[in-house]
Amino acid sequence: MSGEGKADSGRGSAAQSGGYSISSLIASGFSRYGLILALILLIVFLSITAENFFTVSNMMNILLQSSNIGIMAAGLTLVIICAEIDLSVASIQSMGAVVVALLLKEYGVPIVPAVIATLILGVILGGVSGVFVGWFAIPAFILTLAMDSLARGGALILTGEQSIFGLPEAFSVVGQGYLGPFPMAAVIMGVVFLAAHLILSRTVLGTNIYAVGGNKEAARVAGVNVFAVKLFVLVFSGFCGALAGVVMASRLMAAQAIMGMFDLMDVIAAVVIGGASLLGGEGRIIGTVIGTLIIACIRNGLNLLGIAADWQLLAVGAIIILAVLLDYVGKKRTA
Amino acid sequence: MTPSPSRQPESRPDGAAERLILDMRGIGKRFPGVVALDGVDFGVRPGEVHVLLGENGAGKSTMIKIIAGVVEKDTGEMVFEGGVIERCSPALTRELGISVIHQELSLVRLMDVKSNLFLGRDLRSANRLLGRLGVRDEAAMERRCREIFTELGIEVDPNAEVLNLSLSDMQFLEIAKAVAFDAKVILMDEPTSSLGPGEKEALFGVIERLTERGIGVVYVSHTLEDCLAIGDRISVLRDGRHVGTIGAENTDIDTLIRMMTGRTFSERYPRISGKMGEEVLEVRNFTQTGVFSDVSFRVKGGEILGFAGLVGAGRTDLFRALFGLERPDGGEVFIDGEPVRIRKPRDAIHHGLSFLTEDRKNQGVFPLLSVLENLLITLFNFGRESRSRKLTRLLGWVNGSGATHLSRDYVERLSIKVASLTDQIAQLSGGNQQKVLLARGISTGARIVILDEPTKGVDAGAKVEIYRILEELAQLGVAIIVISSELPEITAICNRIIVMNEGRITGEVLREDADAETIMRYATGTAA
Repeated sequence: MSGEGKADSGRGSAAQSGGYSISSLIASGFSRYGLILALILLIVFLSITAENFFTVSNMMNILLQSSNIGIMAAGLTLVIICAEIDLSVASIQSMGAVVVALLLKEYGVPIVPAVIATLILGVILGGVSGVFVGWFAIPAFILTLAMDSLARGGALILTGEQSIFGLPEAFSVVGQGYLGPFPMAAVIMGVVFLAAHLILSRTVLGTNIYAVGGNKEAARVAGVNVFAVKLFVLVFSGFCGALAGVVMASRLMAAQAIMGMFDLMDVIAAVVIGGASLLGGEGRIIGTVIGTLIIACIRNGLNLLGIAADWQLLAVGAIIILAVLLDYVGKKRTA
Repeated sequence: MTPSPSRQPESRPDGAAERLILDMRGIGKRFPGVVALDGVDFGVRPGEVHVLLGENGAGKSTMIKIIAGVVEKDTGEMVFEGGVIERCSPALTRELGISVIHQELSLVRLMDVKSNLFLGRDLRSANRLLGRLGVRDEAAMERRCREIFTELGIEVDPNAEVLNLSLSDMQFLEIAKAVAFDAKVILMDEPTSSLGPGEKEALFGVIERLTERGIGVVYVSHTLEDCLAIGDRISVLRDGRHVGTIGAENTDIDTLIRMMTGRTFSERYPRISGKMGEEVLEVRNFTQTGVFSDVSFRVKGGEILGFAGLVGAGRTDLFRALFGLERPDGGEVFIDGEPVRIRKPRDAIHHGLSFLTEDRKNQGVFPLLSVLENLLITLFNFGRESRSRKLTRLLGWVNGSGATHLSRDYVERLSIKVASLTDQIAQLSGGNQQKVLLARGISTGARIVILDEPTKGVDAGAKVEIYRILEELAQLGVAIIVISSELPEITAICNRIIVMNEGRITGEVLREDADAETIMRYATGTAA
């Protein structure tokens, strides 16, 4: 990779061009450094107000807690840059957790094949969405909403609304094990983030994802296989959903069809706070990483402060609105 | 051309007292890197048709946009009926009585004619309660609509769905809308670009009736004959400057061209030629129901073949279908004598075709991506080719140095002016964007290059450079097909010109025999 190649070729809102006014500089400055600044301020604030927030073990805890949201957010970032949406990730996560648990517990499948089978299931569910969205041009919003219902319903039917306990002890390594000081789940999240980042910034597929999201017609004319690109992002998102499910099942050593019901909101929030545009064509993984950490810090900090879950939901909602507003203001200034 | 005689704003030849409805004084506007308008004066008298003339990029659209309140001026003064307008906005101009008829009409297609006429200010029921509740008075609206139409000599049914109107009727509806809004100045941007000859006459009739009502009409067009026919005065802009304003009866086309371009005809449209080789493409009986039918033609390597015709003649649709962007209903395509099936753009590119669309913004560039990515994206997507040229490795991993190297080659060869390959393409001028797209098109080794209005929105200098690139390609034996509505361009750069009218080929002329009149006769379907 030469310095001048496509390394950091200015994708994403950080490189909005053409604006000269002060407000646009502020807007672009915000998207470049503001996110990190926001995260730091948040950490400082919580360190002061919440006891035990700024400790190594709590930091590791935050990473652990954020892992399944982060994994799904990595997948969703690609989908959103491609100007699509995947509303089914959280349900695919539940489906994944339930399926891996059933395979291990009820069918006695060894861990590795059970995990692989679960991931393949995620790929298939994402693939179904991808075919309908990419080939039949059905809006992803509708189709993945339906997929959300299908996956959640399927998980409920499989478990009969029961929790599945008593998974083999060795399975806990995925969600509870450590690699050096880092929780294994966080390491997995890191690997997924890195893979997504490399796809976006270093491969033809990445260029195609930005191209299709930014200007689908032009991509078609330029010879991009638009269907393949859309199929890929939704398959990747399905894969990430199932992987997040495996991680969650392992972390809790249990699975239930309704767990992670509200995760979709956090996942979308992480991506949008990270600066990916819902209109497609821009966004970066590093933004999503920070978005994920912001969400995780808020959740963790509010927990430490003893604030109830319903109020947390409110806070996340408010933060999404703020992030979208900033994105909108930035766009309007630089347009 | 000395600008001096016109620097005095609106000096009237007959010396009569000046009365202007709209007076734009010393308007200046800068965009990053470009001076769009530099101290331009432009005034409109009641009841006159004032033509605004100039090449693409001369500043016409900027002036129109400033008058319409869409763009803010940097310097100068806007005076409307004697009052200075400080801050203009689209809502304010409409309020004042300035209406713009755009090229892209802004009608609600699913509503009927009278509803469109009163859009946003429906006549309400005379009954106070019902009126308050927003109940419309359909009968009154229909009556008023008929009145306006009769006055303007428009024959359109107020109850027809806009969807079913012809383009010219839609335009009349737009004009009637302006009148219904009590417009005092109406700006028309290229109003005849999609009209047939009969429709054009009708439009001129309507314009005449507008001027009889004392409305000032600002008329923007590239068709010089029309400007002379309908205009009272003509103002010419060049590179953002006001070159002069003259009475339409005191001038002719040659003078106007010289004022517009500052150069002679042959400097603007160099004759270019290639080395004619074997036949590379043959299209037989290509048909898409209702769009084009039974189109057959052949092209040789090194040939530059033009497709002329009016907007809507089916030329763009024809080549979109050929390139796999639309499904034709019938016909065959042969490349090097072999039949080929093209179902999607990838197939077309694979067979050596390249298509530069007319709509650069929506179907060409990726504004947020870098120049490099914009240039190489097609090549990137042909894996084997791209790997053999050291652009990518396994799994589509981009080889940064290879990509930089190759794109730098193209940037030099096509003299694309760009600060850094990693700049977003949106920062480039129209001409340079077009060159990047051209480079993208030929990067896959295309042997048949189709260009749809290649110099639209490109300044005169870059235009000539694009012609030179085409010539170079033709010399290399590439077959070039140019769709152009600019007659001087097409007659200068093409060896052979095919003319289409309403989806059919109506004529074919060689460059030696090509003149505007012959082509227009074929294009309008009026050839004997």
